[in-house]
Amino acid sequence: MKKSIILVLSIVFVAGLISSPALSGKDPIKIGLIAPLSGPCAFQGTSMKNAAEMAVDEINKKGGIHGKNIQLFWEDDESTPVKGVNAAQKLVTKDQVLSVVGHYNSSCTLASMAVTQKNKVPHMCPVSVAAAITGQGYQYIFRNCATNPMQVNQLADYVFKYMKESDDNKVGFFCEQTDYGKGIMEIFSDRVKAEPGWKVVANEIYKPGDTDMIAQLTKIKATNPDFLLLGGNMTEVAQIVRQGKEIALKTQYLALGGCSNDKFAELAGKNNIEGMTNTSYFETTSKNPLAKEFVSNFHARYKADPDMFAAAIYEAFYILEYAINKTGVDYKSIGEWRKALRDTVANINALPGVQGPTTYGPDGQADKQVYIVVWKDGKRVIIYPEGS
Amino acid sequence: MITFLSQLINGIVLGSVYALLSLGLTMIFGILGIVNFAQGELYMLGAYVGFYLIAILKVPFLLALLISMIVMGVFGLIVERVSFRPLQDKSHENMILGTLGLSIFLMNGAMLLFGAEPRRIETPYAEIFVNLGPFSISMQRLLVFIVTAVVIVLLSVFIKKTKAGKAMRACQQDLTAARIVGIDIYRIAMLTCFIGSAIAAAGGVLIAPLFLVSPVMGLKAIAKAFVVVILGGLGNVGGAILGGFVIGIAENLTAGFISSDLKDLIPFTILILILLIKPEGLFGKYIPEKV
Repeated sequence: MKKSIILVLSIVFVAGLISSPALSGKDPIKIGLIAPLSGPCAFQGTSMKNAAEMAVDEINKKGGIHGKNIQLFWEDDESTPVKGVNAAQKLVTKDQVLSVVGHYNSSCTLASMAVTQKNKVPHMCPVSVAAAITGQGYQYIFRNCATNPMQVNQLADYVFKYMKESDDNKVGFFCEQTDYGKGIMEIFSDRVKAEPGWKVVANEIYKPGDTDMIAQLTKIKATNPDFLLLGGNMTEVAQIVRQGKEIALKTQYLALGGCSNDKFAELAGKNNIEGMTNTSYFETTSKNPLAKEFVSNFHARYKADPDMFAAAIYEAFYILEYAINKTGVDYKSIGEWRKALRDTVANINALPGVQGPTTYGPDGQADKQVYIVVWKDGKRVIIYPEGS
Repeated sequence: MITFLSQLINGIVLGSVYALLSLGLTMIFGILGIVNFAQGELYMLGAYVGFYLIAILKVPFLLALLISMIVMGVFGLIVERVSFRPLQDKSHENMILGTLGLSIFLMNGAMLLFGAEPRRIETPYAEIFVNLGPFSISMQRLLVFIVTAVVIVLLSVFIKKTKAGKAMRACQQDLTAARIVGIDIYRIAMLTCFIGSAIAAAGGVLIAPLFLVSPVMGLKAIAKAFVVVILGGLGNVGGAILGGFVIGIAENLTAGFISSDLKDLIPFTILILILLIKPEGLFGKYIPEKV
């Protein structure tokens, strides 16, 4: 009895391995999501998965696309590129997904986009910001958020124009010792050097996971910077501003999108970040009607406000919905379908979304608005562009 | 000059935490002969106990510190009974793998129980500033140093003056002889684990309001604690305290006056040099009485 069960199971298993994945009329539309659901960025990854599940449920409730439901396949990359590549490989070859959405960390996206490019699978990149992702001529990668240089330049434009304090403005840097942190420091510092009346006075680094920042902060304090740009992720930046308060460092803090998050205010303490100026990709106070609807539905479902990562993922799923709808669902092979979908996505023009309209350039990079926000009493207030 | 003094004070505060973490490590090695890789996790769990007491139950900070020390001391007794005692007569490989396994188990257990996201402890002491001439220091940071000093004084009085302390020293010097004169070595081992674990918890609770509490916080701390213990001489209590301050100050002065790139390089360079030149540790020879 036991033997025959094993035999049957083995036959089913082997049959499963050798059968070619033919498309059938009843198959759902398979979409893969890869995010860090454990490890140091688990908080952000969970937010991404929540938004993806919400978008898929909404689309399926409306009757799916051309009568077919979307089925979500999710994988955990733990913020490590090797796991990210393995996850992409599994989704693309074993699960045979139509499109991959994914990664939080740029390092993971940079590693796995080689897999999606090689297998000709449309790869939506809603969150990773490294410039190199859309700078290498890959045909299957599409990003619906601003790159790191775009947000740093936007911040520099704003700071030079509206925040000038005197004729001699001193800028300090305290950045993460990674490609992300170094990129922020280099772009902003080049802009400072080119601007008359502005100069760089301090340039310190820390490693991701560091907790004691006092030594570097004491050094920075001795140079009396008017502005201090913190280029890193929210866990470390929160500890920097708290320890800055301890040594009575008085400066105008500047930070990037990774710190435009309610959790950041909780970790840093809202009194310690009063007046801090950040870039942001998405704000719950946005006047965009699609965003308003998204925020209220997300709140009803998860009893929490969506962050920028949730918004970007949600938008990416609706870009896919629009593109699949336009491409159709009747293809002989998954390869043909993926190719047709890629061509539709590449030609998307001014498609409305929760983060504003999306138009992809020839490199797959969308031209997205970056907001400038200021922290007031633990809340972010949009100060640029006005009226957003 | 002012910057130098502030960096020196920062170094002393950081050194206090290193000393607290290393004390337990060196005591457990000195008496049980076990290199406890899970010491960092005792520090992490201590910080979590503190977090729940302060953030959820609104217990005042100093009381929470005391409760966390007792809770973790009892936890140390369990660890001794479940993990250390069966390992004590085994080979070095078994001991190292055993405590390493315990470390991984506790870290992942904490991730499952408490979640991966970092937590923050708020105390009133972080908002109070003490003026020391031209620079100021937060009460919280000063508290780290004060509590460490109190712990060190109490511990040395305990080891030098009490009967149990004398028994601990006897076990450290010669386990067989201690057993011959009628010392219950298991009781001494349990006492050592209680104290070692409670001191690690004190370090965790003290540092938590300055940094953040997370399941992986023990990993980075234990690496430094090993440097400190080897610098001071394995099993040497005085050496661990001095070693803690040396490493803390060296790190801060390096970051402050050379480059923050080298901050983590210096302690480990010291570690390699000590192992090459004086493997018994800086104070290994001069203080023959070790606990």
